[in-house]
Amino acid sequence: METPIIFADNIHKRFISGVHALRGASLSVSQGEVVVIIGPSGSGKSTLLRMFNMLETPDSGTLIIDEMNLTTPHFNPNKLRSEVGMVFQQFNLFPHKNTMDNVTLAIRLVRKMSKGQAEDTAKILLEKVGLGDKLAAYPSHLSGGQQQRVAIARALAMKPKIMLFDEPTSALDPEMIGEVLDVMRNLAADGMTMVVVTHEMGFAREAADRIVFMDEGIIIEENAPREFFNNPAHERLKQFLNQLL
Amino acid sequence: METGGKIRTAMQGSLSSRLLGNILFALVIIGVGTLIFASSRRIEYVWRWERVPDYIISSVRENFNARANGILISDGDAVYIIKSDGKKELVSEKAKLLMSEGSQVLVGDLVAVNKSLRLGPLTKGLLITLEISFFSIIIAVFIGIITGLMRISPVYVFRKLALTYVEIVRGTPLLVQIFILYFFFGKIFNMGQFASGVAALAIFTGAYIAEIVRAGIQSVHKGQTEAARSLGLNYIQTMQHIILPQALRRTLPPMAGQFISLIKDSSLVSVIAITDLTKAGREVISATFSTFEVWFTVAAMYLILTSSMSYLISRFELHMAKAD
Ligand SMILES: Nc1ncnc2c1ncn2[C@@H]1O[C@H](COP(=O)(O)OP(=O)(O)OP(=O)(O)O)[C@@H](O)[C@H]1O
Ligand SMILES: [Mg+2]
Repeated sequence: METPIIFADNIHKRFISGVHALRGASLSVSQGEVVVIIGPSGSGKSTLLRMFNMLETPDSGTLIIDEMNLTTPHFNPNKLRSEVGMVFQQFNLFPHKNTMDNVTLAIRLVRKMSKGQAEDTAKILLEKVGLGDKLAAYPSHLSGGQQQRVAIARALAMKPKIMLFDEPTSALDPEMIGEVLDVMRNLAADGMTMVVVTHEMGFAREAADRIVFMDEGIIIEENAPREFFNNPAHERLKQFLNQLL
Repeated sequence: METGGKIRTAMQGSLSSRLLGNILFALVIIGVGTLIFASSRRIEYVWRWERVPDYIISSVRENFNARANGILISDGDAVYIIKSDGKKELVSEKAKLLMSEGSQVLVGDLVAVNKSLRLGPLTKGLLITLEISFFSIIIAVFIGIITGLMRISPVYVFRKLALTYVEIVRGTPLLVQIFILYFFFGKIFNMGQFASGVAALAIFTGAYIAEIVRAGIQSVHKGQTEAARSLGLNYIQTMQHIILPQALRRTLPPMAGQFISLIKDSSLVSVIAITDLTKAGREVISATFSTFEVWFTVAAMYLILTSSMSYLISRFELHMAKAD
């Protein structure tokens, strides 16, 4: 088997508040794989996902991403972050910048791309997420679904090797969930490596290569979608799936 | 019932309450004014308002007499006399002829005048106040942003240094700070009155601006930093392009308040012999004894400065709001 692009082993994280959010979580993701993480609230899904671009750092365990060992002392996170895109529940667009500038900012500052080149890149990506006509709009003038699509384009502009999604549709009105999931499905079909925390079981079933179930800071079950839904092994997962129905 | 209520609130919200309010306001002002005026009649004081304009701006007339016999000429600005030996004698670089060009003049004749406007002492003081305030505000904003950033820096020693500075400045009176800056630091760093005054005001205001900046930065949602950092921006880029632009916009109203305070507080530098508006006022009074008129005028001049400042800031805020 080829080396996974994300290799997390026995990760522990205890917050200053005392909450023991991760208690030995392990997860490997191969290049091009789409992994969906599900689990009850507070089970540590976000904490684990945020480890993958060092918005959180592990207390102990091994974490190797794209051959970079993140647990090396004084590891500089900026190199990693420019290769790992992240999409947040609350979009987190920059409100003082229009759509175009939101997308071009990082490629100009971090990739040192020229303005013209950056804008060409942005146009192509915004076209791809269906917002080619919103280049000059400020976030406050966009719907939630549109904002999230800009946020995806913004992350993609960096040409990341991995895309992380933390409940990308949870803050959206129901009628806008579809448009964001469509963009994500296209991305998955294009072969992007994706780790997605979501409650959208439909998306998980169709788009995921593998679904993992997290509970109390560890991953207790993982499987291909069909097996995962049809033959859950652990009692906790059975309960969780029953609650969803 | 409901309609009645609606009509009443509509009326309160519009014409009647406002008109009534304005009438009451005028009455109160007139009443208080009359009271003060009546009381002031009982003290012996000769009001000389007619002199006040001269303290603000005065017109001076300069007379020029001929210093030679000859023929008067002018090239528009300068005035000359052509003497009998053909040599030109300058009367004035800039003056208006009182006689027609070509007239024969004798020594001692009044031939030209120059009327010019001269800034009165109060206006000169106002300009000094403006100058001090201008430099102090610029330096204070600079100090404030740096210190504000230090207050939330991940580096402990920066936080500690910034906090100590803020605490010292906010815990001591400005007047004492001005004295210390002028008499102690002014001496050891060889700073004059003006520099000491500007430094004192900038250091004082900088501490308050630092707290405003800190609060502004902390009011920007954590998600903004996370989004910027997750795109690979470093700490400085995140601050410069994402956090500060949003934070500073929010700090504009409280900062404007600090600028206005600074303009008013600048009157304290008159204690170290800077001839600002306040000191100019005192000087005019000691020469003329027009105590009341001068202080009222000085107050009005400060009010013009501070209200211009509010106006500028509100225009700027409007401009910023349009940018979204
Ligand atoms: N910065 C933090 N400081 C302290 N505790 C935290 C912090 N972030 C998360 N936690 C705690 O860690 C635990 C796991 O949080 P996490 O956000 O990873 O859960 P989650 O599975 O994403 O839940 P949800 O579905 O509600 O998003 C929770 O108990 C949470 O309160
Ligand atoms: Mg979460």
